[in-house]
Amino acid sequence: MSSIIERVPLIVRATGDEIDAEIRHPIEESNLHDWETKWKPIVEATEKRLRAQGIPRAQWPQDLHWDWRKKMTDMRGLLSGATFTIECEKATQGMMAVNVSNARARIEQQNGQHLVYVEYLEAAPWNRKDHMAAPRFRGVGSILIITAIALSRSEDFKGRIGLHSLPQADEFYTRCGMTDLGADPKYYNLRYFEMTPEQATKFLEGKEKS
Amino acid sequence: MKLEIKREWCLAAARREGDAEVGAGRVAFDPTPEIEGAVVQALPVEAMHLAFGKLVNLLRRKRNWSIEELAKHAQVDTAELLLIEKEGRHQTEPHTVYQLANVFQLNFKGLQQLAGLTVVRNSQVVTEAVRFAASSDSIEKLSKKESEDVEQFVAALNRLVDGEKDRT
Repeated sequence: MSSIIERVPLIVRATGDEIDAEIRHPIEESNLHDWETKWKPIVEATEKRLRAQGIPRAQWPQDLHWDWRKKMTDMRGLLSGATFTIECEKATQGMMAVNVSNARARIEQQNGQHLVYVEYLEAAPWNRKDHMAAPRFRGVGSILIITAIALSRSEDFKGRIGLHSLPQADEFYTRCGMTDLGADPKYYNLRYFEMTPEQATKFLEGKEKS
Repeated sequence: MKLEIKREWCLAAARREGDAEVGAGRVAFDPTPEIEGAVVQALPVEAMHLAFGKLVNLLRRKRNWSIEELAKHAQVDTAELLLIEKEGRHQTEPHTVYQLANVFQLNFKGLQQLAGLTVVRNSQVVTEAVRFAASSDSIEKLSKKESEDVEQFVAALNRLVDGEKDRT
C-alpha cells in the first residue's frame, strides 16, 4: 500500500469548491489499474471523436499519438525510480515519475549540478481540456511540480528540477517560472525546461510569472 | 520528505493553473512522424515496419478477412492490428508477431526481423522489404499483381532468412 506524503486541496472546476486530495508514493498496481480502466477509455473516446469529426491528426492532442502497450512497457520501466500520485475520490488524478540519480542541470550558472529530472508527468484525462469540455479538478500539475521541488530540496538539490514539456504544456511550465532552454533535438524535439533554486523559491512563494 | 505547503498556496496555484495542459516526458506521449520536428526512426526500420504492415494487410485481404476477423483468428488485439497496418512506426509485440506467423503460416524468424524484433543480418532482407513496401498502394480488392507481390516477397524472405541459418 502506498503511503500519504501530504494532504492537499484541489479545486472542483465546476463549482470552485475545494476537495481534499492526497499526494502519495509510489505509483502502485491500483494506479496502473486506474490508468488502464479509467484513463485509457477516455483517451480512446477522444481519438474516436476526433477521427469521426475528420480532424487532421496534426491537430490532435500530442499525447494521442501513442500505442498503449508501448506506453505500459515504458511506464513499468519508470516504476523503479521515485514515483508519485495525486488521488481523490478513490481515483488517480495525476502521476509523476522522477529521476534523482543521474540527471544534471543544463542552465549555465548551475550546469552539471544535480537536479530532479521529471521523467513523466500526466494528469488524468478527465482533468484535461484536451479530453473534456469541462475538466473536473484543477491543480494537479502544480501539486506534482511542487512535489518534485520538495524532493529536490530533500535531496539537497536546492529545488532544482528539469523536464521535457509536451508541446501543449509549454505555456504552463513557462508560467511556473522555469527557464525554457528550447527544443531538444536529442529528446523528440520537446522543449527542455529547468528551474533554478531561486525560481523554485519564487514558485513556492506564489510569485512565478503570471 | 515533507512538503509543508499551505492549503492557500495549493488553492492559489490551482487557480493559476486553470485549464492548462501539464504533461511532461516521453511516456506522456509517443511521437510519430506526423508531429512536426519529431524524431523519425532510422529509415530501414521504418521501411521494414511498413513492409510488415503491408504484408499483414495483403495476407489478410487475400483471405477476405476484416481486421476484426484477423484479430479473432490470430487471437490478437484489433487495435494493435490497426496500428500494424496503418502506422509505419508501430513496434509490434513479440506475441502478436508469433500469432500472425502462425495464422499466415509464415517463417517466424523472418517475420520477427520484418517486425523489427530481431536484428537483420542480411541487408538483402531490407532491400526486399523496401521494394515490397513501395511496390503498390493498397486498394480494396487484392489485385493479381499484389497477390504475386506477396508470394514473391514471402518466398524471398524465407530464402534469405534460411540462408542465414546455413551461414551461421
